[in-house]
Amino acid sequence: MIRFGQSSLRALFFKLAILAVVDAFAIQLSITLGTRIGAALGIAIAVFTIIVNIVFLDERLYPWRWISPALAGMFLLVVYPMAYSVTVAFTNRGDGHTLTKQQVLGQWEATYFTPDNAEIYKAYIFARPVADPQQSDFRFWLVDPDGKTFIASSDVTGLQAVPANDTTYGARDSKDVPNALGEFVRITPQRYSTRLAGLTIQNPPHLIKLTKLLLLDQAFQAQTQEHVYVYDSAKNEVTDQQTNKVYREERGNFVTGTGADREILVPGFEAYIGFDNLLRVVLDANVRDPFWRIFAWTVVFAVSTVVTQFALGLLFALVLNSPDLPLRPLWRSLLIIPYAVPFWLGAEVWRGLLNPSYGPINLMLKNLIGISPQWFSDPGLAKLMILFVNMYLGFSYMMLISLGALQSIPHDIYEAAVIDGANDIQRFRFMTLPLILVAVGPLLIASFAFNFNNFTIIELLNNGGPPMSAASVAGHTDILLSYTYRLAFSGAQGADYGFAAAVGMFIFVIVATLTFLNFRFTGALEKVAENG
Amino acid sequence: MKSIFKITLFLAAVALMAVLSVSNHIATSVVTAATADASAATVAPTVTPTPLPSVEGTLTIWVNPERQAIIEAAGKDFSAKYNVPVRVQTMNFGDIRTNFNIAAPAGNGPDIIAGANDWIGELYSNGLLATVDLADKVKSFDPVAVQAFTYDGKTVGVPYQVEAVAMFYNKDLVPTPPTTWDETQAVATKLQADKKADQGFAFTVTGELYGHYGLLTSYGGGVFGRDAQGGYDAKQVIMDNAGSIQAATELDKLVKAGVLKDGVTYDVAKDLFLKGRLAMWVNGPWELDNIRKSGINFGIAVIPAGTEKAHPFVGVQGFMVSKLSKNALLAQAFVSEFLATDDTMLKLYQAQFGVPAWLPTRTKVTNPDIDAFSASIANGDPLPGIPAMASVWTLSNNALNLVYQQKAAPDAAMKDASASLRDLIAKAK
Repeated sequence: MIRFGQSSLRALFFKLAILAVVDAFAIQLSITLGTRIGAALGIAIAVFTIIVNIVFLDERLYPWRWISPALAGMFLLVVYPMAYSVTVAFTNRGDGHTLTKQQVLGQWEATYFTPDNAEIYKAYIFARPVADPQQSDFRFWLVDPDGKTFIASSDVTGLQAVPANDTTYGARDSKDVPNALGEFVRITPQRYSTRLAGLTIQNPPHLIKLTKLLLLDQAFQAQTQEHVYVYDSAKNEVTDQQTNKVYREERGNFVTGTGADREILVPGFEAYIGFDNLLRVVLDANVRDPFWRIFAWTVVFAVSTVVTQFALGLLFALVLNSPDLPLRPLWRSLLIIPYAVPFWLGAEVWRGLLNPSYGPINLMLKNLIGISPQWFSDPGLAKLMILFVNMYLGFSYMMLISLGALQSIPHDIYEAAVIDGANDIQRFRFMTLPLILVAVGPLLIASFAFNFNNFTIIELLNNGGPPMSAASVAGHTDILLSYTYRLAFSGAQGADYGFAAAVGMFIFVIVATLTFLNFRFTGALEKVAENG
Repeated sequence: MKSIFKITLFLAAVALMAVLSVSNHIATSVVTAATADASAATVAPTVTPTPLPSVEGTLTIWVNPERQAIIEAAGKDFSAKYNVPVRVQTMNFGDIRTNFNIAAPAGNGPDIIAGANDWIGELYSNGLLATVDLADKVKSFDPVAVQAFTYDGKTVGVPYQVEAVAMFYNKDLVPTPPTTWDETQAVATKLQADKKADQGFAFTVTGELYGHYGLLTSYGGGVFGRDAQGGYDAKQVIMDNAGSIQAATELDKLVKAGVLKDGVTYDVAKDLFLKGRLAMWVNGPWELDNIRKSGINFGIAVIPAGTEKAHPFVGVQGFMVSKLSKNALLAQAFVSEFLATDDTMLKLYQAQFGVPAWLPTRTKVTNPDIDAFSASIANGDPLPGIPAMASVWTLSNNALNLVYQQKAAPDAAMKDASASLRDLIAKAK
């Protein structure tokens, strides 16, 4: 093994260069994620980066070197997303609740209404010429509907009337607007619309705001305005000035009234809502009742898929492995096709082939024996169909790994078995199968885990259909993951990520239990290997 | 000695990398600032990282690739006239919605997006849409389009294209299109009995509410009732009123008569229609090109009536202004004073075929297909944009599919779906 630090200066340089490159990425990642997602994540990445650096520079920590990047990766890709999901499960995050409370209050702060006796002005904008256009300040030339004119500013209270015969401001244009107000010169309004929109002219008892940009006139419309909402931070209440309704905070919304009179201010914001999401999974009959049926089918689906794929794959592998088979490479190539063709394409083809009204398979069956199986609308047949198609899509992979495993079994033990008088079935049952299982066992478990969450095939083939009932979003072929997806995106409020995360927590517990059992099973296989 | 050397070297390397990564950030902001201050009236080059955020004094517009050219041209005109740089960024139509939802609250959203009216409820209730004052121009728009772009009594965008499904029919098989469901059943049954067609009639997709909404409304049914202002009211679910149940019963009858079949997906129906094996197909203008290319002698009629005219869903596309835009007033002026003009609307129509929402343009263009779809749109209901729609799709599709599959009685299916829908809406946060 190369031991950088002790060998040479060049090796040291090499090591530091690699470390510096890694650090550069880490710093970049820390800044990007820290500013975009959350400071905590950014700091955590920075801390991990420092730890990894120390571990790599200090000879005494040598044993930790190769495990520390793995730990960092595990944190970033497993622990953090998990912790994040758990946090989300306790919030109302979803459509209608995407902004923070601060953002929502800010929006209300900037909401105005036009009182009944509102004045409407046309506002021409003048700015003090300064080197940096971002620093200039403004004067307004207001014209009311009667043609009366005023000068106003955001830092002076009240309007200064300018008589019609006034000549203080020199030359005027065709609309009778001066070209300059003292040192302030006329400007095109659109370039400054953002800052201008933020300005307020105090004209007690009201405010005057620029409400509309009139591009053709190169001016603004200005109107008397009032704040719609007033937020009382001590009471945490919002008052609507127009209706005098008082809104209190409730689960990420400001609401007023109860029962049928209950009104909600839109938009809502993200808030912690405690165990509501988790309880809904347990208490809401429309969610809970299909849950266990779907769980059972998920297990059946994942197990059956692995068993059928492996059985068919092994069968073909045994046939292909036999030296008497002519044209072996040809058969092998043909049998790999289902695996080589893109997954979704295969699924689409089968969807078409099995179409109940116009698919060739049903047309043929109808002509031959007069039946037309409803592959997509009969719950039992739909399940069979999905298992069959999934077997077709996956057996090639199992065949490939089984072929590999078969090659590794030494021939002499079969000779010994033949001498001992074992027949073909006994040789398969007691020698081939256990030895292959030792090799492919972990892969079968991986395949089980993959199919347990095989959202794609369910969605592609039948969208989880046929429906269990019109009252539920669940379908007979939905697995837990596709069911979660349907629940999360069929809420009455649109997407509901908080609830989806809560369902995800339940699924996590189930998958964790199954994984634990799987490990026990793998352990059992290792014992077989030791005995073998 | 050696360790001090090592640590010094390492610190130097880290410092270098830190400088590099920070300077990258500085470079980005310099470019952004430069773009914002560019006084020349040019379309600024797209140098900032994607997606382009709203920058003060520069309009940023997200559109789908099909509209990129025309919006860029409009942006250039606008820049030349008003000295405001316009940046156009393209992404797939559906991605605009997703990205806008994520980017806008984080302050990375654009000023203006191209969007569809059924996004409005979600975007508005997320606090992302600003109101747009159309003033007198409102009279120049198709009223259905304006209604579709009105949420909570406020106009939240400028519509420019309207679409609804109508009934394509094969003139060689159906010389005069049926006007009622009874006639449709008779014509379709005869065509199938005579083996002239595999299927006489089909909705857009078997068991999907979108195409079937015309059937529901032709008996006085629907999904949601209306509030005082004419907007949809999630508290009034009417998917199980007498009309909706009568429509579902009619659907059941058509299935039992062998006119409607399970498993007629979009692809199957399209294939059959283009081969002349499907006589009547409820679908929208997006299939016009394909149907023309196939050489089928086709006509376009309104969807058959039940006890009243069918009201198909009307989808409306247009431009919306971000509430979190740094240039809200400028963006509002751009859409209401610049886009909503005869000149720009005509150019938009010429760039992409579709029924114009701007009535002067619709009168100006002469195209029989536009006229045919306009007739269907005239009867239409806006595709609801209220957030509760998300729960409607799955439940209504389940109900319709159960009728197609003859697994539930039509009234039970509609009642179950409506009960669940009410339950979900009541529980909505």
